[in-house]
Amino acid sequence: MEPDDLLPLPAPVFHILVALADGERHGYAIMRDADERTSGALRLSPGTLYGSIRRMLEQGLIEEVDRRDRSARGADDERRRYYRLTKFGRRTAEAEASRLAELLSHARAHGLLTQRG
Amino acid sequence: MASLRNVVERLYGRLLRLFPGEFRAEYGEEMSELARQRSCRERPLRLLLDLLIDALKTAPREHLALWLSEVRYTLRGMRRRPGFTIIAAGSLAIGIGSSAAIFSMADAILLRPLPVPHPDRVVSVRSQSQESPLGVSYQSVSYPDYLDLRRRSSSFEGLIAFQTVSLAIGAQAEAAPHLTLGLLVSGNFLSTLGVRPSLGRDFRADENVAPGRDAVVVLSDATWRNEFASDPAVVGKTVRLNGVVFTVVGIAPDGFTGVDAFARPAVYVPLMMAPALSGPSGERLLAGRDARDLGVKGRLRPGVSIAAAEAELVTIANDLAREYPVTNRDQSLRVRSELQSRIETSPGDARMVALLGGLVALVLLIACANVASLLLSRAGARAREIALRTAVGASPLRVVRQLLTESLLLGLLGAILGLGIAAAGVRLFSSLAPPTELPIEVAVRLDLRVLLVSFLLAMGSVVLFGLVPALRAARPDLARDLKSGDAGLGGSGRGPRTWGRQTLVVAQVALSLVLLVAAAALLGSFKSYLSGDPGFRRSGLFMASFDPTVLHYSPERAADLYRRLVDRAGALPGVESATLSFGVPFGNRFDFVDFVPEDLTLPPGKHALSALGVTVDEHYFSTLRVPIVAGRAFAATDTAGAPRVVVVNQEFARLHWPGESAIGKRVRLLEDGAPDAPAEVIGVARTHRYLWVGERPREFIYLPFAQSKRQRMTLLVATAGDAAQLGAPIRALARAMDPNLPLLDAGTMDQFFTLRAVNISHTLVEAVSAMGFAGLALALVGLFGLVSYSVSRRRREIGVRLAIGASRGAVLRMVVSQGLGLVAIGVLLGLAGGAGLLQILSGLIEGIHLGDPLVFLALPLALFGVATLALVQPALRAAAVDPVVTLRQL
Repeated sequence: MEPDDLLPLPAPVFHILVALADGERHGYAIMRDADERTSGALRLSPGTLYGSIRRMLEQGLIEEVDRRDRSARGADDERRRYYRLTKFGRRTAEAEASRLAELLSHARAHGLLTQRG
Repeated sequence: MASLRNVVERLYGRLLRLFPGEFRAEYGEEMSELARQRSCRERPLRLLLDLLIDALKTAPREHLALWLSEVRYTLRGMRRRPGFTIIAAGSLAIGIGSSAAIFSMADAILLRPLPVPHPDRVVSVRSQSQESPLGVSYQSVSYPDYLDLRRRSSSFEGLIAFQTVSLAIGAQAEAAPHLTLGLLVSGNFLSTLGVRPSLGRDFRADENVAPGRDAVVVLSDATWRNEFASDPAVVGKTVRLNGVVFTVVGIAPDGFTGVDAFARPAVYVPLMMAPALSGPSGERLLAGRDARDLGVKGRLRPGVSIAAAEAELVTIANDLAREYPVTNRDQSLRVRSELQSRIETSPGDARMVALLGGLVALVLLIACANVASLLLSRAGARAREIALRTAVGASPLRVVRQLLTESLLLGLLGAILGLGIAAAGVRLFSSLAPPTELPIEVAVRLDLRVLLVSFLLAMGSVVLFGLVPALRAARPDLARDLKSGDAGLGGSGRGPRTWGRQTLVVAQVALSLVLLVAAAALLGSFKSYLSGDPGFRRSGLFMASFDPTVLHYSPERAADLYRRLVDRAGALPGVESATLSFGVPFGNRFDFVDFVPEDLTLPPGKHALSALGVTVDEHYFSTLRVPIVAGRAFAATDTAGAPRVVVVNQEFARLHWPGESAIGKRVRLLEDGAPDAPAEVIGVARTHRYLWVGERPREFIYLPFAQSKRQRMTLLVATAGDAAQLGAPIRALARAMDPNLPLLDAGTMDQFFTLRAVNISHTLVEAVSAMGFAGLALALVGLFGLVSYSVSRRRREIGVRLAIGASRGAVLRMVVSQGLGLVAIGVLLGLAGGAGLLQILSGLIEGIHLGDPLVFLALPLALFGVATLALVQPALRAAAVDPVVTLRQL
């Protein structure tokens, strides 16, 4: 499967990928990250979040971090599951980002992009 | 605040139940954690709403995703075991396909509702006569009574009246007209039924008031296509009916074929045109209060029940009986639903449909039981896999769901394959239809209703039978199954677990043998009749039917026409003789003769006996080569003024005057209920078959044409050469006599006999043997499944046997003999059942051999042979068991 096969990504999926771009996170952290990044516009609910996570696991965009790895690094809660991007996931996130950037440049060129206060 | 948070958390716990179990098991804890964390920072009510919407949106998606992965998993499994899938789906296909075909037959004969909107609100009105020579009977209604009903009743949105008539239809002025069927209707016929013409208009209110004034016609869609080539400008064109010019005002929509189950009228004509079309009989139809010839149906008003409508009509009937005692004394009215009305009119059809329904149920049951047996055997073999999955945490529900998904997919595959079988079956049944030029057909077809019903039945039963192995498999004995997946060492795969399936296999073998025995016997009976002398002349005979009544011939003019026709036909080159007959053997026109043999007192309440008969002229017996074994045939001297005479067949003579000569005996013939002058028996003809191939000897009366009032007759012309060559000369002869005179069903007796007798009996045998073979296929599938299951369960036992010195050949023999043992029981039962069925059949059908060695020896032997083939694979598998491997699993 190629990244292009999955484009355009649904918004929750993209935000999860972005949240994981800096490193591995658990579910709640992903939600907080998306919440802060979008200033409260996207507050992922549990069903949407974990439903997307399930699909992304199946598609190979993310993978679960092995618990042994984590406890060795002293993560805060052993019970929580941590996720991280796969190479494929990263490539897909990059592909989506460029797609969005291209859309934005088109919009800007036609004077549709205004600065938000 | 904290307490509110707790409420939110608890509520979310409940909300999580919307999600599938697996999803909950995987992520449920974290989802609750997420909700908890959010409830610290957000307003509780707002959060709850959010969570609710979220759950409602995503839970269905998760269920769907889970189900799709189940389906994909199941499909992969099915692809990996193609043999099993094909056999299981094939069995279902046989079950679903044959029940669909059989149901479509029942549908065509009796069950299909009228092709109108809300057909359940359309009911039939029949008049019931208490006082009639033959007891209580249901009859049609007379026109004056119908008008009074319309005026006086309030239970109906509309009451319609109709009568089927034969008409000579001529679309173009020059072309010869041909005979067809039309429907005389009241003006509100189409509108009450809810049928709107696809072209043109319906009858206007003023067009059915004055007799003979409005010669307008609505064509059927078929007539428009066949006679007018679907001309879009047909409205306003004219068509000749019985020589009278009618104007086309509308076309009935495609899909509306009248109100009769089998007759499809070519045209719809106002009742008021009856006198113009049929002369005096048409006048009588409209005027006579005791001319009860009209069918009447009505559309009930909303909220009115059949019982209420009937009560009202009974009251009106009583009023009419008081006002018109001469014609309406002892007349009452009844209201019946369409189905009831059909059953009352043709109880024989109703019985056949009930039989067919039983057959449908049986076939489906057997097919589904077989698939269940197969699924069970596989569930047993997969016990280890299932135990493993359950042990590592798969819920029993998941296992059940997976097995159910498999059943559903098998059912779907079987249904799709079954479509092909159903189509073939429908084609087979359609060819049972009697051939005639008239627009009559038994419309057996695979319509949506049939498919839907069969599909639902099949899916329902598949799920049901898929449930049994699913439930059994979901509660395995974990310890035992994890270890070996086999029964315990003492287990033999027999015992209470499999006796049900053994009984099923035995029953199926028995049943299919019964069917095959019946098919063989029928084949024998039909073949011997068809290859021999049918009892009358079959080759070198040309026939054509005439109906001068459509042209309003008076009886004298018709008699004159027929006299000249027979004379001139007999004088044609190459013709040996010509004769007239009302009907022909294996045809569908017969006289129904009510008679009382002289010096016979009938039991009280019975006024006459009935027999089948036919009106023939003096050349009949010689032309058709029906031997006269005593006395003489009719002669030219047996005219209308001469003493009345009849000829009877041997069976008639044997029944009424056993041991004596019938010559000189007298019978009183009843016509229109009143006894006529006694007729003398002057001859006895050889008995032959009159209606169908397997007919048992029946009594039969021949009436002389010269002493009858028959106007519809068939001309039969015999030649030593090719009868087909007579077609053109006969047609030319008829045209020369009257260019408006239509012919009907012109052809050779050989063709007719082939279509009516040969083809139909072949089709019957084909149908029965197809069912027998299908049953056998299903039985073999069941046997295969059972023995495979048994072998897989006994692997350890077999391993032990091999280890202690048994030869592989002995193992093979053991498996095969177990299977054949079941078959043997089934065969014995089947032979007994078959013998019993043959006894019953021989009472109904002529020529059934009860002790045919071919049937009672060859069939069972063949069955054993085929069963042995089915046992090869499981037997080889048993013999191939590696004792080392199985012993290690102890």
